[in-house]
Amino acid sequence: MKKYLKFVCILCCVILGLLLFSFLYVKAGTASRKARIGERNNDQCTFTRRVFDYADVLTDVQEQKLQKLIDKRQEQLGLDIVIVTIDEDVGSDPYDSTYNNTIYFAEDFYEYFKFGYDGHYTNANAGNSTGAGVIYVDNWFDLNGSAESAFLAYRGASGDRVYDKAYEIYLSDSALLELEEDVWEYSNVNPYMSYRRMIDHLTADMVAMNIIEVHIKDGWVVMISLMVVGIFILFNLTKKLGKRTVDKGTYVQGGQATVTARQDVFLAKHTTQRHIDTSSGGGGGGHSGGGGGGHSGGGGRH
Amino acid sequence: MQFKCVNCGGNVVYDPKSGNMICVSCNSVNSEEIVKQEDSYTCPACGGALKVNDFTSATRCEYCGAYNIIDEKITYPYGPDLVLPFRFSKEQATELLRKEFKDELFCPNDFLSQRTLEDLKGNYVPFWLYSYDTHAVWSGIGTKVRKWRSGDIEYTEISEYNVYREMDIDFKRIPVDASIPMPDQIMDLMEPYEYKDLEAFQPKYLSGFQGETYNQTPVELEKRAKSKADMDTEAWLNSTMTGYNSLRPSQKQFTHQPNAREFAMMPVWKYVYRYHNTNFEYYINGQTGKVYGKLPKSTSKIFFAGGTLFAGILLLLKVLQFVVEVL
Repeated sequence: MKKYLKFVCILCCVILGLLLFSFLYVKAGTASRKARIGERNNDQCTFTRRVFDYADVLTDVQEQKLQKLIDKRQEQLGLDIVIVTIDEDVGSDPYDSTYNNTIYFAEDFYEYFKFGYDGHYTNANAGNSTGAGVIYVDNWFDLNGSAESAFLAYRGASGDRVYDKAYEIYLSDSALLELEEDVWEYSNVNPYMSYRRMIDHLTADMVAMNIIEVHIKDGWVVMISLMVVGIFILFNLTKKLGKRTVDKGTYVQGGQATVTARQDVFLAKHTTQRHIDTSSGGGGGGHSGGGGGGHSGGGGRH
Repeated sequence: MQFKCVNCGGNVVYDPKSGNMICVSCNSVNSEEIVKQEDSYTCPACGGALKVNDFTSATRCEYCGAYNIIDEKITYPYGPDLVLPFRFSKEQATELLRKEFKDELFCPNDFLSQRTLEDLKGNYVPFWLYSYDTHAVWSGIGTKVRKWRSGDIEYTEISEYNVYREMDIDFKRIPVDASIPMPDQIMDLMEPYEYKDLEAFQPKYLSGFQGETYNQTPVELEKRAKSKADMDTEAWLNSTMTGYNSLRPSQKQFTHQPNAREFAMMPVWKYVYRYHNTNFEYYINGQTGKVYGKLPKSTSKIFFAGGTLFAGILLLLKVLQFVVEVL
């Protein structure tokens, strides 16, 4: 048991070490970012509210908590972070009726209220940027059994790279999908948790070095822990002392047997042959695409 | 019979550590004299009735604690030819157990506690030792398979050989335990004993221990001895037939000609730990220190260890998850 407790202590030390490292790293990253980010500079959108719960999926307390977190992150990241929940049919995509227009709703919402941390251009339709920020719209309207959401990241209005980072990150489909999957994991069971995760994921993406492109899901974390514990317990439960330690020479005088006759006479040889099929199938193609205009991101169903 | 100290009259027992007879009362060394019993079932020291069964050859008086040796079970026809004296004392056996189990997580707290270790007892277990001149004949077909590839064609060549072997093996002292209460499988796991320390039987080695004479005759146990000899013979033959991918025997004949049979007492420490109405038995080879036993499991410890480990791993993975996202 003593050895086990020692192991647990070491494990705790490793955890604390990693936590400390991460904490310091994030602190340093945020501090250095903050040094480059100035005060919010947008005189056209002066209200401070960032959570618009029209679908009423959040409690008042949850709204306040989200608002508080957003206030903190906005200053750290140099982004306006907007969360909108709705429960309405915003019209279907003219080319694909299985999708509705939540993404256009998000665009309209962000631009109508003139969000943007570093300012706001009014001529967004000309393809220019409209002010750094992100908007997440969660549409709870039942569309063939699914809800729909849209996440858009707007590039900075000032042309400063600091304010363009979110836009550049979510030009990548995989980065966007990772964020969406992270958010959707809790969408149906706990919307508050789901929106928090959006903010945390965004923060992590913004301060990260993006060295390791891995996202570990919560389900895996629990499953791996259970598996490790299961193996550990099974190993300890099935342990048994006492193995056979005699061999063929243990009870033989001198430890050696005497071969008195030995013959290996060749009888026959048969050879068979088989044709090996070496043909293999060809690879498939792929596609890529890019973002345009003032924002990156996209929508999806959960 | 009983070994008594000429100096103080105390009981004299064999001390495995020093190899001497020691008086348990005054610690005198080799000061023993033999006191004969009036009958085999009465302790000469206190007159108390000895608790014995049909096979007991040495036991401890439960009234005065003196060790008695039952004369009629150590003389013809029950007397052993050989004895392997204990090399590990009770304290050393205790240490061996503690060392083996010290890192076990799920053992109950009082496992190997001083109180439960009172039940650690030294036993001389009866063994028949069989010696055979074995002659083995094996013949059959051996096949060798070779595969190679040329272009898109894979070739398989199978060569067949007529294999013949004759072998002489001089088996010396294959041990088979002759005690019904001692589990055969576990006694087999206690092997091997180092026969160089075998001595002609002397009753003094039994003083201080439990002992029993054979419960089964050598004829009854011969089958087990031959089966052990068969297994080793097979292994010897196989060691001479390497290089074949398969062997198909047409003749396999092992002849075990007995050339000696001896009755020996082998030293085994036995510890019985009772946990949740189940007896857990532990055996230690009294000469080599080899330990056998299944671990008792404390459910609360399993939950504690499993729970803390789960929490620890979960926390670690969550932190890693965070770190990975940060990096």
